[in-house]
Amino acid sequence: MIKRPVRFAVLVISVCAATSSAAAVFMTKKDAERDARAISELNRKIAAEKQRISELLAEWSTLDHPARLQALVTRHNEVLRLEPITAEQIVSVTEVASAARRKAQEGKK
Amino acid sequence: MRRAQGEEQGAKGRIALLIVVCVGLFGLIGGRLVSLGMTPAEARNAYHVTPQDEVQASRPDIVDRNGEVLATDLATASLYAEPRNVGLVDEAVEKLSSVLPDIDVATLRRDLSGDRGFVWLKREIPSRLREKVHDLGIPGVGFLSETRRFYPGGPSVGHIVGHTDIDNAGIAGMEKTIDGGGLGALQAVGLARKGRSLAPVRLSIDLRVQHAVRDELSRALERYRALAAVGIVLDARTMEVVAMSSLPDYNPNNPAEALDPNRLNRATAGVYELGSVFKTFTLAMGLDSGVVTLNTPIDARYPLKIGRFTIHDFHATHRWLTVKEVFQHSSNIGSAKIALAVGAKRQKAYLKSFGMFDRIETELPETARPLVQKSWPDVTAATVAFGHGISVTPMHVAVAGAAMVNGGIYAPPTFYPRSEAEMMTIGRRVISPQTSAMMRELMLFNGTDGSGRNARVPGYNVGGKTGTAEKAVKGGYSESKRINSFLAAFPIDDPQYVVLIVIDEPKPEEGKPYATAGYNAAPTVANVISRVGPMLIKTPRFENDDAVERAITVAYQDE
Repeated sequence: MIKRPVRFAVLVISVCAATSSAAAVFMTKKDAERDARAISELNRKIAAEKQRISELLAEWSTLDHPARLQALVTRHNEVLRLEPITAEQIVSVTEVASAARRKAQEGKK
Repeated sequence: MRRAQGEEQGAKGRIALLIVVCVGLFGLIGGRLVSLGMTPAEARNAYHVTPQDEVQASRPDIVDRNGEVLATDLATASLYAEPRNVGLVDEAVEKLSSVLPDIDVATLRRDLSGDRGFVWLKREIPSRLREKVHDLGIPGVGFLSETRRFYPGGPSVGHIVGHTDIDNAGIAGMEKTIDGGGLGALQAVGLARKGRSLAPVRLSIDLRVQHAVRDELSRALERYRALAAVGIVLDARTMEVVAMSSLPDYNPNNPAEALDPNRLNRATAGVYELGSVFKTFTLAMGLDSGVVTLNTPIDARYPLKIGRFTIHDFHATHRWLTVKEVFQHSSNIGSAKIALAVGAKRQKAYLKSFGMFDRIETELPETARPLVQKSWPDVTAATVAFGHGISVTPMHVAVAGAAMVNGGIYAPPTFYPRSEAEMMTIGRRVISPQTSAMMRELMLFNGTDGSGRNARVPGYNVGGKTGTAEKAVKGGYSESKRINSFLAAFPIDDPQYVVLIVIDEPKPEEGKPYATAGYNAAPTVANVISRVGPMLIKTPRFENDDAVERAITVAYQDE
């Protein structure tokens, strides 16, 4: 039926190869374009997030500023009953331990 | 026949021409497609830079030593409209006012109705609203983003961070220094642009301490009805400025306030005759040069006459004083005599090495040159001994004071973090370690038994020297106008921090007899140290018995 089978096979194979490689190149290119779009979209989002973070940091440092906290504490101190820490309140663990031991001994007597 | 042949040839020629044209056209289209496919897609999209970004200069954040933000860039969006392109004005007005409730509807309508090309509708819109307005999708309305420098702390660090001008260039304080240190050059070549993050600049300031100092100063201003007050906290070992406040100050978010000369940064840009705190330096030079020892007796029975000038003591004792007592009673006569014994030449050399003759070398651009007399007769030597006849900034005294107690090493103060190793390389010895130890002893003695009693804080062993200086007015010194100061170090046996408080023209507190430094500057120092001590020093120390007592109270106070 086919006059020259070898020649025909070569033709079919080469046509197939050409078509598939063209398709592959096309798809790669489409993928690359899609990725590029995704990258620029992500970059835009990152920039927006960074912007938001710096805004939040600025807001936080306004809210956390000692002057503001002090004003709040003064206003609500009837409820909070906060006082500045004094040096007497800071002790080391060993001091507390020795004091506890002393107390225990006094208790035995 | 011949005609038919000719026609056939003509047809062939036309077909060939058609084929050539078609092939050429399709080749052209194909080639163009290939060339379009060859261009890398990312190049356009990855860093989308608009012309607007190009004009927006970016500045690094300024943070304190614990990373708290002191200054930052805020991107603000401003809403504009092109009235020419706004279609339905009523609809636009209705939509906008629903999202921006505080916008004035009448003005908005008038703005949009015109035929102008451009009009600002509202400046500085927060990003939440920005999105909402965007979603309204009104034609002819859009945003332009602007960068604005924002100082979350407001006035508390105003004098340190400074501020920027409308183009976001630093014009005062550390902002100016940062520009000078290469940021300006970066911006000029276009490397510092919006959207590129620059590493934050870390300062040596501790915001908590800064606030405590400023708060106590403002209380002191009120309590003593004073004109101005300065507070400085220095790390005695590294000369880092931990806090520096000068009241009245200004809010860097509103830079126009900085123009008021009353809001000047007195800590580094104001010069004063600071009075008796200078005796610290006079005694240090006396002890260091070996002219006197701590127990050398000095005759303070009679006022000292030099030429036509007479030097009196404020707390006159009319007896022989040891050097230690000269410091304790803050004797003008005694310290003048020590200075004369040291000699004008050596006195000048010592003062020079303490940095008293030169502008303070620090990062802050606002520094003042001390006022020093050209000629140096004996009377100048004698008055400088107790702090008159020489005007320096409070920072000069704080730094020299730190050098007196830290073992005798002087280095210029810094607003950037500095390690002790760095301090070793740049510091220079100005007095011997032995003299420095004697100075600590003197300051402790003055703290426990002298004019510094009001500055003592339990657990932090404060030692220091008061200074009550009469202000120079026209034709002499005023008796009612004073500059009071207190130079303190804590813990004085191994000083870690130096605190200097200066109060300008305090009035006597109600119920108190005097307005001398022991009654205002010293208690202010005590207030400052009791607030910042627990932040700066982890383990307060007490006498042995105290510690046990204290531990019991702490351990059992809940029972």
